[in-house]
Amino acid sequence: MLPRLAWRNLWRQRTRTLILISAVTFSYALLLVAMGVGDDSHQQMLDAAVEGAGGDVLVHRDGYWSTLAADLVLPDGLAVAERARGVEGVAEAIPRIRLPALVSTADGARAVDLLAVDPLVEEALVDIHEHLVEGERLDATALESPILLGIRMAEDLETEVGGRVVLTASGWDGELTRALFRVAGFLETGIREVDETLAYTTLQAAWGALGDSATVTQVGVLVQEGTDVEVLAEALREGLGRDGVPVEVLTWRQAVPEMVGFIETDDAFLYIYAAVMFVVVAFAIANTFLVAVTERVREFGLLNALGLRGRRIGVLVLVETAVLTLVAVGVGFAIALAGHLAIDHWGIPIAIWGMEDMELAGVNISDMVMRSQITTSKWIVATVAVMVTTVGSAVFAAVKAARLVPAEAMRFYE
Amino acid sequence: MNLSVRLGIRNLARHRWRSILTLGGVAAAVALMVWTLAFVDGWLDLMVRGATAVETGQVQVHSRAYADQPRVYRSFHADDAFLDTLTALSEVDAAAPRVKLAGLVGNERTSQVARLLGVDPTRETETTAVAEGVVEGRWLSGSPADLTRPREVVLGRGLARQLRVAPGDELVVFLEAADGSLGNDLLQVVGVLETGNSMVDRGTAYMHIEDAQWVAALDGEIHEVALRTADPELAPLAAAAVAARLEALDGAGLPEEEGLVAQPWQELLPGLSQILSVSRESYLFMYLMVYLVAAVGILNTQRMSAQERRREFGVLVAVGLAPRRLLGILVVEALVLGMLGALAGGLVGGVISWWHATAGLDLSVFTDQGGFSYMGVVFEGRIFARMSAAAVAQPVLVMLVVAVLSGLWPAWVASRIEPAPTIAGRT
Repeated sequence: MLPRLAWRNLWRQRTRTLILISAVTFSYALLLVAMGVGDDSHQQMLDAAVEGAGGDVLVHRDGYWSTLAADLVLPDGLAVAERARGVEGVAEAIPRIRLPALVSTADGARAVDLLAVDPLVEEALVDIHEHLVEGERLDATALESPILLGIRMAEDLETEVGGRVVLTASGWDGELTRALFRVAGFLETGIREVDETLAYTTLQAAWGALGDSATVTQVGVLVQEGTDVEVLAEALREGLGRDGVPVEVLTWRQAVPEMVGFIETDDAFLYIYAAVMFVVVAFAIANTFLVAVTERVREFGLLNALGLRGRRIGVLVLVETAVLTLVAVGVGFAIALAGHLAIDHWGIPIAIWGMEDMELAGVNISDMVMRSQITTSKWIVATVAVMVTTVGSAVFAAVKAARLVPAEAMRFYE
Repeated sequence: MNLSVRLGIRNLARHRWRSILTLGGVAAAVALMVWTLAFVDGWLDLMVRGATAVETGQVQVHSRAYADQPRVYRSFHADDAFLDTLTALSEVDAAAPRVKLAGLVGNERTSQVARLLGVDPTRETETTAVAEGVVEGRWLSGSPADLTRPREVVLGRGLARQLRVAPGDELVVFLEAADGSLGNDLLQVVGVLETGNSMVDRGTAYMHIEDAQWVAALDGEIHEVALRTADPELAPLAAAAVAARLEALDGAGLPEEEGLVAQPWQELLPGLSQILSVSRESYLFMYLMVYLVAAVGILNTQRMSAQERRREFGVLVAVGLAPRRLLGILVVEALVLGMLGALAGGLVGGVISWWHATAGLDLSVFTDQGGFSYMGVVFEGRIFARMSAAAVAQPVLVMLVVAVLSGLWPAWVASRIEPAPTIAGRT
């Protein structure tokens, strides 16, 4: 009976109820959409960071990641990758060499972050030829010691496809090594910093230059869908740490702490704003119900005289709020869902705010298009929090209504 | 006091609880906006400072060719007299000449690619805050080390960590010189830097400009002059003044393509400049959202209270109060309500902002991952808000406008009552 009574009571003051519902609906839908867009951009940033780091789980010589020191290597990297592939939950293990180096031509020298990879294996993480604008693929070229260069660097060095460049780097033993490479092609990502420093070569070519045939600096591990990264990392530690050189196994959380730190901070700010917004909404609701109770003193008095106990009158007020909240949350959810679908479908390019390239946590992000994604647990928590806040804000009014004395209430005149 | 105001205040006092609750909502919204403005100001300050004060400076002078495409041989001659000409301008506070090189720095174990900046230690300290970032050892000494000793170098913390060196350790630098030869020299680490500028902290090495000129075969020439101006916002004006002065000097005989150009940091760091203007506009959106919710609160309260007091209004109108006057009373009520709430919110927001401006907001509260970098600026540890009269006053004033606007409709509806049926209770 109470819900029906509550429903009727709500619509007796239509404008007021609609205003209240719209306030809750609006802020609730806004919160959900903000979470959806935030989670999606965070995911994109994280993906970019993980891609830049080299995999979901990274295997290095112990101490490598914090120093990127070229002497901390995995001397038998291919075997490490092979053993990692045998661990359950591993989708692919990608051996690669990261080498800070100088690339020089007659026109100058440029510092590069050289990545030596097996292009076919690397494809499991990223297609390095995606940004190839001129020349040939590393796995298709007939050139000996091929190298792909960022287009801005190539322009600065005034080199052309097929041209020669000299690579200078410190070898595994710390001795400076110089080697001749042939330019196979140019890469253009559109991000200035990347196009100035990017260079790819094959593992074979790098080994040729460094006089070696198995050493890598990193094995990037990709996990199969549904695998717990922490558990897998532990299994890899077990499987790889036993013999040979000491290794470090890092999950992406440990590998890109800066990005994780940014995302957690950004989320925290969203929650602070959401909390204050709902304090404002809660004040409005508390107010409305307080007024409603005063206004309906006679009505409550009558109900009381008819035998409805004080407590049940209090419950009636709470049920009214609950019904109002349900309607607001229902409508808000529908609006948020529509917003989510629309944003996810069309996307919002951040370029419309005049932002093109940005650097975040050491990762260069360009031309990001914000879409939306639903994190079920977060949406549930937000919904419950909104419902508790709105219903909770009517408690004061409910207590007041419950304490009315029937005889006095009936005598009350406006 | 005006009758409307007196009536308005009395009416609000008559419904203490209702007024307090509405005030609370308004105050929370205003406090949030005050804090947002103070925090955004502090954040932007940190961005501009981190990006310009540490390394870039506010204005830079290069040769036209170098500005177009940096090359180690695109250098120019700049003596003390030239630098003094620039600092003589009222817009320019200090000038620092620099040599910019890229090379491999390392020891027998490992090496890293580094940006090498050759600087005049004294002028650099006057121009940028880089020396304040020394966390280990010391800044470069006033003049280069004795020729029998290794050259002094100060490393960014990331570079020092990657090379696993500390003050006292020796390093070798290897780079391409201006004449195409490969220059190398022995260095000794004298200090380690942590400045908050990620480019400096991650991969930059500072050395004496004379040492850098020698290893890069630059023959006393430099690549860049960094200038400090008092207000980063006015850097474009300062750049224009410098450009005018350079043009006057160029008149002394430099051909066009060898001329010098002056660029403000807004041109040198366009990405950062974009982000700053976006962040400055982003709080408009916040205003809209937060104040819209607060406005609904005021609207609702006013509407309810008018509804409840319709008989009272009926009587007032019946005894001759003009509807326009009634409208005035109700709008004043909303205004007083908004004003009290806004003042309370301004106070609360001001106190919290002041607290975050003096003690800082510890980012580790939000994440256990430490700091992060954004557009080349490191955000780590505590972030300080910036208190200003504008940051407090603006949200308060905007709320007054919002309060009047959201009070208008309920007041309009209430002022149009028909006295007779209302008094009779037939509405």
